[in-house]
Amino acid sequence: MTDLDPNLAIEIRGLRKTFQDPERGTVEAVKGVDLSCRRGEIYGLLGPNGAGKTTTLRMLASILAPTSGSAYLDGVDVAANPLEVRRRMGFLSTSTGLYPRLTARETLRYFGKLHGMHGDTLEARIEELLVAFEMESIADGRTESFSTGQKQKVSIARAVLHDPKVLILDEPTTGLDILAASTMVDFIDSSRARGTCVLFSTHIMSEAERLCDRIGIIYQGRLLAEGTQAELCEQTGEKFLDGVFMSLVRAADKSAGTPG
Amino acid sequence: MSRHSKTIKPWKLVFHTELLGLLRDRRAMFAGLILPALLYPFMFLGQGWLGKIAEETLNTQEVHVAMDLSAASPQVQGRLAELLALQIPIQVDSLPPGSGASIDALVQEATPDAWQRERELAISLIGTDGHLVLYAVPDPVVADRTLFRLHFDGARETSREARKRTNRALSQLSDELRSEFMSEQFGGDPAQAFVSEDLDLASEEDLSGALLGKLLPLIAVLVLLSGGSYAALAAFAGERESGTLETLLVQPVESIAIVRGKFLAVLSTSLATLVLNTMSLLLCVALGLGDLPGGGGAAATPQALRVLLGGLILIPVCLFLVSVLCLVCGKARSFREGQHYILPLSLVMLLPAAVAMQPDVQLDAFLACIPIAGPALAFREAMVGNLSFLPGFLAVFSTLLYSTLVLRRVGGLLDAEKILGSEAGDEELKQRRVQSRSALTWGWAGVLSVYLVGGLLQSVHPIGGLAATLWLLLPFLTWACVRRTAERSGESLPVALGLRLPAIHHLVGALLAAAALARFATVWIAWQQKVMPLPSSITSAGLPTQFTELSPLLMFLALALSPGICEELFFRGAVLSGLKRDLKAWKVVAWQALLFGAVHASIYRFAPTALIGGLAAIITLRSRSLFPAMLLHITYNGVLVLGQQTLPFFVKDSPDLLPSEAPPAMTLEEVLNLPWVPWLAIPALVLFAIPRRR
Repeated sequence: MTDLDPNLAIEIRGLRKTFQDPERGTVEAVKGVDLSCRRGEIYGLLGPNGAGKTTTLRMLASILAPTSGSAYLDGVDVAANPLEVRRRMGFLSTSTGLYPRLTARETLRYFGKLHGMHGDTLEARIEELLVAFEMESIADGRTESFSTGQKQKVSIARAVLHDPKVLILDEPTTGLDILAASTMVDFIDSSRARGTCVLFSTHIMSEAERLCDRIGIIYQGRLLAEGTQAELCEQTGEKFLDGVFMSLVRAADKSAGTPG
Repeated sequence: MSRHSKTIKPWKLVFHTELLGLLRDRRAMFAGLILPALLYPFMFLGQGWLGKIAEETLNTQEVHVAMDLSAASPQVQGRLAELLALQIPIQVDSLPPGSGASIDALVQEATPDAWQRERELAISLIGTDGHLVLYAVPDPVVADRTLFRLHFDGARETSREARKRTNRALSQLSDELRSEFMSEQFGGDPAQAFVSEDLDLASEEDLSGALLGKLLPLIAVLVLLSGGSYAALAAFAGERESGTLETLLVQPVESIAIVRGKFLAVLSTSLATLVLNTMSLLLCVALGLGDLPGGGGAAATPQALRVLLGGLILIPVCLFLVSVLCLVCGKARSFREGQHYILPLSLVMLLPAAVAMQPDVQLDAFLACIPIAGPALAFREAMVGNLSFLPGFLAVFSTLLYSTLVLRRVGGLLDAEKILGSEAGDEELKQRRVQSRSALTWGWAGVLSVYLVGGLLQSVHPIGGLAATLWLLLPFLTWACVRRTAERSGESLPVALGLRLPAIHHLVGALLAAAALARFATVWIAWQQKVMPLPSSITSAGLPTQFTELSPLLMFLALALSPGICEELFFRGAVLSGLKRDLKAWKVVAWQALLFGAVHASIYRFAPTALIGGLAAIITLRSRSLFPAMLLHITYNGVLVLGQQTLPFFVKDSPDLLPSEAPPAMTLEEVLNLPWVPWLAIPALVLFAIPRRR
């Protein structure tokens, strides 16, 4: 593609996804989403459960194939070259778990090797991350004995091990306790300084308000609005993000209710 | 960077990591891999040693016998007492003369009450720690013959032993008397002119080969599944459960490489278990522990060449079993769900392996191509050096072919679209899954309770038991099963059961289908009779006599109308209504066929009943009403039950009929055999092709 903006880390055009359900027939989970993130930008995808956030992120991460539309990550076409896309991104979701019988260090080594890293480079990188996340003392303990917060740190370290250009985080704080959640929030915040683009989904307004350079509101498989918090407030005439969200959702429900 | 630290192939990485995880799970390793291998010596010891020890203990146990031989001749009395005294350790007490006659009187009476008194008398004669009462009476059948009666307690081991020793003494006495008679008459027993002696031509290697050939296929299947199932569950279901699968799928690695690594890890674990177990088994045989019935006392390892050939035959079997195991465990969403699949899978896999244990089954080209059974038989033949090339080749080749087919499916196991696509569903989908699973559990619970409770009731009273099973047990199960389904979906019970008015054309279709089906069943049973003849015990007793004595109307009520209503309410009503919430139609039909075949608890009736079950399920799904299936069932059963009834509208076309005679009416069975009956299936199909109007 020649018309790709080199400043964009993520570009999604008209992405759609339909599932076949035995009872309900064809279910359209994502109904044409356009979205773009600049390099070094933190972008929050805000929406309720079942809005299509996870499916959109999974399509971008090359896990699911889109029914139609296209997605580019760091200039690479996701559909054409999924393995290259996976080399350039880090992915983490709430449901992400760890192998209980591997140690933290072994976990990092395993995923590093799957990324084609090896030898001294890999060991040095693992050491660097263990220090950065203050995990030296637990590095050789099995992850089954870890607390939620410690597990979270291993998962984050695993996602950034290969120094990805883009981080895709699917509801990274859902289900975490306050301490673990704040580790996560701090980490996202620190990515800005490292120049990594972060695209993350959430249904927690305060998180989006605090972290995001730009926010996209997704509802029933459609991106309703996109922009900085200020832009969104101005567009809807609301003061806070939850007001913005509610007014957009109400408008969407209304237009869906009136046929034609 | 030096060459040797080059990146490792992804499948190797996955393989190493899987094995590492398994090896670190010590408890699972021990239970699945090492424990079975340790158990063989105990198993063999248990069969050999413990049996011997028990026997020896019993042999040294003293038995108490009380006897009254007054009715026998003095010569017999004296010799029998001597012979009995030789059956040491034994204590023989004499009873006062006449005690035998008093028990005998009670035996002659032959009433339950007399039996009770007979018991009490015997116990009073011998005391509670005595074991046997022996007495002689004149034989009521043959004059001048003495009848010895032995009263013993079959529930007590020592009492049985006392009987054994007494009988031994009696048979020695009989031998002595006979040879005495023989030498008086002929100057010697003509039967003593020859003796016989048997000599086994098979070498010890042959014997142990035969033993291994019979045992190992069965053990191999068991061990491969037990050793591999944990690994397969950890590799596939465990990955989903721990939430690492999504992470694994976003690594820059083809998913097929991940599957390959996992598959090889499961295969290695299975093979390691098999090798350990075989070694343990061989060791047991070599040490002479394998003293199994029919195996001979084989204390040698079989020829190395045969073992090698046997190994070559077993390798594809391992491949096949492990790939099936991976496929099944890969479908499971969690460890627990996977564990539910292991037992049925093991049973299905053990069945063909058990074929090789049957001595009368001979390997031929057809059997060679049956998965597991073919190679198991080939292995058995190979171990006794009896395998010919073609069946051996076919067994190995077909198994490799099946493995390839299964492995292709295994390759697609980690398809994210299938795994995550279905998980993208919401709470409702989960609810439906629960409903289907609970319906299936109820289905099997129903089958089991019909076996156990229904079987018990019918053994007490055939007709009453059947009525109670149909009209009490099944409606209760129906209610219990459908209650939850209806509650969850907010339907009323009749609606959930499918008790709504059907389309008329579907009812007509069911009627026509029943006739065609009944014809098919008679043809099938005739064919089955050739392939798998009914044992004589079943042929005559297809129905208990109580049923055949009923009037046609009652027979119809008991065997056609009642099952048609009650069985349909449970299987096609309650169970189907739950199953269809989550499962695809073909799966619903398959489960229905399996459940309905299983509930009839007879391998001879499995095929026809499974067919009705499947067909009734299709009809119910199609017509969205339970009534056509009921009509099908009632008609089908009715036609078979009332086969001997004559139908006035159908008359026999007989050439040697006098013009004045009225042509005789045909029986229902004869009508069923008319050539046009199978063609009724076509209008039935057409009628069911027309959908129900809303």
